[in-house]
Amino acid sequence: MLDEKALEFRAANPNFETLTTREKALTLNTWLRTNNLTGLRDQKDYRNLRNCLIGQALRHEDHDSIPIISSAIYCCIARRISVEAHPCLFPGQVHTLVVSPRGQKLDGGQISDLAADYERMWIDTFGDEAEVRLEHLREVLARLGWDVSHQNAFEPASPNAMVERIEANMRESIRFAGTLDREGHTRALQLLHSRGMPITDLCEYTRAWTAVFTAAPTRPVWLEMATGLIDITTKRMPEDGWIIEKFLRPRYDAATDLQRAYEHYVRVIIQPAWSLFDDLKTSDVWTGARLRRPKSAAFKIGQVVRHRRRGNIGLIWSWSTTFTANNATPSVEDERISRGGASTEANGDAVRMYYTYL
Amino acid sequence: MANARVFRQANDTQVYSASEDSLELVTDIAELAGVEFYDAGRYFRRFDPETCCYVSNQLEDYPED
Repeated sequence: MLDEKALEFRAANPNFETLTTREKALTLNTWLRTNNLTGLRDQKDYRNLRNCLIGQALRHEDHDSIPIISSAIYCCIARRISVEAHPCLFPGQVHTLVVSPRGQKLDGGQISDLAADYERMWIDTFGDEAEVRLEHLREVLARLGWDVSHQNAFEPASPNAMVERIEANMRESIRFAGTLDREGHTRALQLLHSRGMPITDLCEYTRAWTAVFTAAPTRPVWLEMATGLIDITTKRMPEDGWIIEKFLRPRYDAATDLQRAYEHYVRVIIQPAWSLFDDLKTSDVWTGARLRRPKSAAFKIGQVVRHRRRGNIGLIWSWSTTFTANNATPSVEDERISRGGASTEANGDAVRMYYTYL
Repeated sequence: MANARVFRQANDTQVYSASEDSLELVTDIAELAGVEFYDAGRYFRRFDPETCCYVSNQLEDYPED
């Protein structure tokens, strides 16, 4: 998608190579803004979760995004047209830094100054401004009460810092959605292909991952975050267990001194997790229970049904020939019974269902 | 908040059991408008609108379904 946009930009600006670096940077910014690829249509929608996700921003017809994502889009396309650009985590609104090629000035010509062999400029890739002067950014920092020598606000952001800030925005979006009425809540958490609780669960999962990235591995808090992530993965996302097993487990096992302080976690969460992942390594050779359906069974897995009394719609997810309580997991006895013969007593044939309310 | 509780029910993740006589088949897709099955993607490959049925991804455990 980004490649396509870069090509579109080049096609729309055939004289691009003749421009100075400054002109290139500003032309790109204007083009992105005119084509609605950066920024936000309606400021009231700032906290929509969609605006925090670059995939959604690029695919959705409105291309709404918050400043950090707008900056990322700008930088990705800039890289494809040989302009060096980086997001800067300026408080309140992320800006974009553009750097001239080595030895050249932003407005063309060679740099003769021996002190630095590049020049820098800052752009507002989200709002209505174009180039923003460093002095102005410093003034804003001073008004916010920040120390003006705080260099990080003007420097290229590290990937870890970017991840942390995006995750903070996602968390704030979810918290904000919780304060809205039902319709507002649904709209605030609506992505292109999904909405509702699965999204908030996935965001919690994302938060568990970012917490591990952003904590320093030598500190106790890292172990806490890693334990939290391993816990969520084993309970809800076992299919991602291989990532934990491959990248996190060696580090976790090596942090023996930290583990001593968290002996309880290690016993209750980590040891079962490592056993699970060890089992999963050999799981390809397992065969399934292979339950054969009784001939008289009325429904098959995948069919949509309605409960006659309750009236709600459900999706058949599994069946068994013994009745099990709601929310129970299947037991091994089911397998024995179904292998023992097709038992088809009148109310012996129960169907377990996967339900959701309308 | 009362509102928050309502949302949670709209995406209820509880699994229910019922016997055959309590259920009737739904074949009209129109009845599925607005209904979402939490985590359906884990157990099913896709939805077939013609049969109003989800294609199972649990063939190892339930080979005939």
